[in-house]
Amino acid sequence: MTGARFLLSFAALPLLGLASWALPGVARLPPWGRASAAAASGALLLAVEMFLFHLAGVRWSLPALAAPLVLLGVAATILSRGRIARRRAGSPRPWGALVLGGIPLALATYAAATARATSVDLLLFWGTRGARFAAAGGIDVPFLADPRHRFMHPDYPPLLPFLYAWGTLASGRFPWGAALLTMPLFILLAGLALGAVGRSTGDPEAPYWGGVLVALLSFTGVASLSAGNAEPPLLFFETLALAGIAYGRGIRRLDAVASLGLAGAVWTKVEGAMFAALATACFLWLHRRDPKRWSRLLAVAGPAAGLLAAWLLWAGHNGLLQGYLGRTYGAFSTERWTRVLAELAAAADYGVFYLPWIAVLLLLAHRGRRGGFVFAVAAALFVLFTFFSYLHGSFDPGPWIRWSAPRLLMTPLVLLLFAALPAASEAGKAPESQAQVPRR
Amino acid sequence: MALTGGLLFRIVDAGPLTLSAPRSALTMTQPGLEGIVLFFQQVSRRVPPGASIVLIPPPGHEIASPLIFYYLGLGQLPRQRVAYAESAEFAGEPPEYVASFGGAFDDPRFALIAVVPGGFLYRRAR
Repeated sequence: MTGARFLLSFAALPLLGLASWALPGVARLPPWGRASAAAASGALLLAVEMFLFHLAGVRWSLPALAAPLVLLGVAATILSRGRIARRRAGSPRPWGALVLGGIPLALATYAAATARATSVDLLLFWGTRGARFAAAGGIDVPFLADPRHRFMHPDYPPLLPFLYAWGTLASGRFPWGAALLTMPLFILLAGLALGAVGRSTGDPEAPYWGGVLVALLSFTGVASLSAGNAEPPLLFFETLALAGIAYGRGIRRLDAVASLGLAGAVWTKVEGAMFAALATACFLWLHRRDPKRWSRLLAVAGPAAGLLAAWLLWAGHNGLLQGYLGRTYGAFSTERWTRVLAELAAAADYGVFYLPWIAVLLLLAHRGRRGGFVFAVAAALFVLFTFFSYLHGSFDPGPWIRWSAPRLLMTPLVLLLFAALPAASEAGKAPESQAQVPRR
Repeated sequence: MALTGGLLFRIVDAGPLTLSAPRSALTMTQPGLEGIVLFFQQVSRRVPPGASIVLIPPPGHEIASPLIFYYLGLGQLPRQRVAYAESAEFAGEPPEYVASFGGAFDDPRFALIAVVPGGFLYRRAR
C-alpha cells in the first residue's frame, strides 16, 4: 500500500498542474498532451510551492501543499473552458506509435520493477534527500550543510527530492521499490509531450517520433541504470522544452510549453542549466528572423533564469554551493584528457555497441533536414560540456565516468533525435511571413 | 526495433527473468550492498523516530566504505539522528542506539536488544 500511495501521489501531478490549461499552447494540445504538460506543470508548481513554504517557515503537509494548487487549477480550467481543444471526430489514432513506444516502455517498466535499471545513487542521495526532507517537513538545511554530506551534492536542484518528499508525505515512508517506477512514468510523459506538441501543429508523424523517443529513453534509461534517479524527469522536461522550441517557429503559443520545460530542467539537475543555455541558443537561432524574438526569449527563458537564480541565491546564502562552482571533485586539469576521452567513448557504447547513437544518427541521415542542424550542434556542445566536467579532480576518473556518463549522454541523444525530426526542422520555414508575424 | 532488441538484451543480461518483487532496489545491480540496506530497514523498524544511533560499518567491506555505509544508513533511517562512525570506537556523547553490521559490538554501556539479519542492534543501558 505504501508504494501504491506513493505512485498515486505522482499520478496526481496533472491535477496539481491543471493551471497550465490556461496557457494557449497547452490548451490546444490533444488530451494526452495536456495531461503530460499538466504533469510537468504540477511537478514544477509543487516544487516552487514547497520552496516558498520552506522560505516562509511553513511545515509541509499534504493538504496544505495540494489545496492551493488544486484550487488554482480548477479556477484556470473554468476560465479557459472555451479554449480547450476537443478531439476532432475522425482524426486518426496513432496505433503504430503506441506499438512503437508501448513495447519498449513495457520492457523498461519490467526492468525497473525488477530492480535491473537503477543505480545506488537513488539510495545514496536522491531518495535519501526526499525521505529526510519529508521527515523534516521542509528542506533539511543542517543535513545538507554537514561537510560529511558533500558527496550528496547539497546544491543539486531540488525538484526530484521535493517530489520524493511529496510522495513520502502521501505514503508515510519512502518506498524505494516504487520510486523505481517513476522512470517509465516520466518516459511515457516525454513521449506523449513530443507526440502531442507536434500533433497540435499539424504534424501527422509526431506521435511516431514520440514512440521513437520512448524507445530511445527506455533503452538508455535501463542501460544507464537511471530508474529512480533524476534523469527521467530531466529528460521529460528537456523533451517538453525542445518540442516547444522545435515546433514553435512561427507559433508563439508554444513558447509557454518551451518555458515550462526549461524551468523544470534547471530545477532538476545541475546540467539542466547547461541544457537550458543550449536550448535557448537554439531558440534564438531558429527565431532569428522574428523581430519579436527578444521579447519571446524573455517569456521562454525568463522563468528558468528566475528559478535558477532563486535556487543559487538560497544555496549560496546557506553555504551549500559547490557543484555549480565545480568544487565537488576538485580543480580543473587537462592533464588526464586522453584518459577522460577514452573512458567517455567507452561509456557511450551503452553495452550494446553504441546502438542508441547508431539509431539516432541513422534517423538523422535519413530524415534529418538542414534546419535541424542547430540541435546537432547543441548535442555536440553538450558532449563537450560533459568532457569538460570530467576534467575536474585529481583522482582516477575511470569509475566516475563509467558510472555516470551513460546517464549524462542521454541529453545529447535526445538533442540528436530532435535534429532528425523533419517536421520540426521545417516548421515555420516555408511560410517566411509566418515567422515574421508569429501565430497565436 | 533495434532499440527494443537492445533493451531486451540488457534485461536478460542483468539476471534471471522473474515475476516476483526484488528484495531491495539493489537486488540486481548492486547485490553486494543489498545486505546492508536490508539490515538498516530492519533496524529502522526498531529504533524510534528522533533517537540517536551510530551505525558501525563492517571492517574491510569490499564495496561499502564507511562513508557509503553511512550514506546508505541516512536514507534508510530518515527519522532517526544518524551519527557517523568509521569503526566500533566512537567519540563524544554515546548514542541511544548502536547498529553493528556483520559482527557483534562489545561495550558494557550498551545492551543487545535485537539480532537482525546481517547484524546486531544495541540500546544504551539505562
